[in-house]
Amino acid sequence: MQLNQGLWGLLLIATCGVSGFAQEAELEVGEGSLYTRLGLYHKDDSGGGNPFYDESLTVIEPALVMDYRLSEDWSLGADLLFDHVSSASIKRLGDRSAYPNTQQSGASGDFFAGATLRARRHLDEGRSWGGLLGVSGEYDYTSLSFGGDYSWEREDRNASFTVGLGGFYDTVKIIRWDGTQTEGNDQRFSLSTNLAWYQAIDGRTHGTLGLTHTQQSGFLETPYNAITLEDGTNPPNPNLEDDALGVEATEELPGQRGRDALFGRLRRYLGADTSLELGGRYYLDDWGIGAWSLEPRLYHQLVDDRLGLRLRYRYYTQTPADYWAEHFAGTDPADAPTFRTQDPELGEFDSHTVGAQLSFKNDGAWGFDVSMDVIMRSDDLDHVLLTFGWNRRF
Amino acid sequence: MSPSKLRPTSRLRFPPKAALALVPLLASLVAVPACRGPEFFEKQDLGRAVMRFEDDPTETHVQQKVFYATEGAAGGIGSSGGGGCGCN
Repeated sequence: MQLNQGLWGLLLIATCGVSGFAQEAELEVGEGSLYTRLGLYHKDDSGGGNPFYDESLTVIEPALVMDYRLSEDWSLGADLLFDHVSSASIKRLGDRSAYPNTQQSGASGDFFAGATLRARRHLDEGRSWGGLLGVSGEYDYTSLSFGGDYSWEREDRNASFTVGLGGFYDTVKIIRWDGTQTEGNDQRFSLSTNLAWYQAIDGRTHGTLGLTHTQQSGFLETPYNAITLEDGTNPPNPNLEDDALGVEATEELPGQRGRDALFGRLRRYLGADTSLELGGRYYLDDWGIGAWSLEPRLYHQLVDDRLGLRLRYRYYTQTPADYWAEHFAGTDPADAPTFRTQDPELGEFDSHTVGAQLSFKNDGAWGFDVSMDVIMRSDDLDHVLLTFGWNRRF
Repeated sequence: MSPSKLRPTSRLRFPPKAALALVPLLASLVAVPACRGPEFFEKQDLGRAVMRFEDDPTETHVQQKVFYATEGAAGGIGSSGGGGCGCN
């Protein structure tokens, strides 16, 4: 399965709508910040996930986020990102001997690019509002995004509150698993509301609490996803793993989806330049997926304010969507349920993530970090993530 | 690979009992608005590098990429709730 690169880009847009502004708030007039990162991500298909496809994937991804304090009243920002993806699905779709109708071979199906412009108006010391506009796309879709938020900080800076709204309008080019594209384009609209609250609890403890609600409508399938129908009498299918006895049918999902997530982080200073954080998230949607995660983190400064270490562990578990199954019986798409998917993302699994990061800062002028995370999933779709980040003030 | 080679996934119950571990975390934050928090002269530890919540926005992006794009749940990493792509 090709990873959903588009989501990544737009999530950056949405994220920087808030977290980027948090960086801006520290900038003096005429001062700017630049954050860059190079990520290397590999997903290994050790026989897990969808049993009929090799879902291994490698992504190389540079990202850049820049902010500049134009005046006392205004800040500006820009985000640029780019992905290069090599995946088993791209290779599969590029195999014209298997799929003569495929159109993906030779196309730029393994590249994603996105850009966002942001602005923030500082009303006074504690209040501000911001807005953003973004565009992103790859070979099979384009997406336009917008967003805005209002932030308020208490005078004593012990609490702050942010309310935000973001929207995404996507045009999806429907290219099926076998490369056919006779269905033209379709649209998808997503509207997300965010509430975020920061609270200093005592001199050594503070935390954040957030809530998001997202409502999506339109074409919500991943167009290149297929399910495989089996009844034991189908002929060997060379397009499936091990020439399995099955025939493909399109993934079908409802045209509406509501998603809610409640999340928080609580961090306490333990002394000796060490702190401990407990993060958690609880998620529900109306496709039947319920998920939660717990994420303890340990932060320690190895050398004053210059060299820092972060260790983390994350446990995540989710229940499957109502429409997900590992196997479907039948010989014809009419045999399958109206809504159906074999996408492991919508299936049942849990995962354990362990990671470490080393970060270096040079008197606040510039810094860099290296990190590694290993994600072990119960469905054997294990991941490794390596990143290198560099930032500076200017 | 053939279905017979698949490793079975464990059956999960939801909501799992361990999710209750979230309750103290959330309740502790819900309970604090009544208190004003520390005075400014008590907050020097909150300003330490190991206590800063501001994440590198590019790192948040990468984290979302890995987790949102490969899990069914979105929201809670950074402030985005997901949406807006050529996928579900």
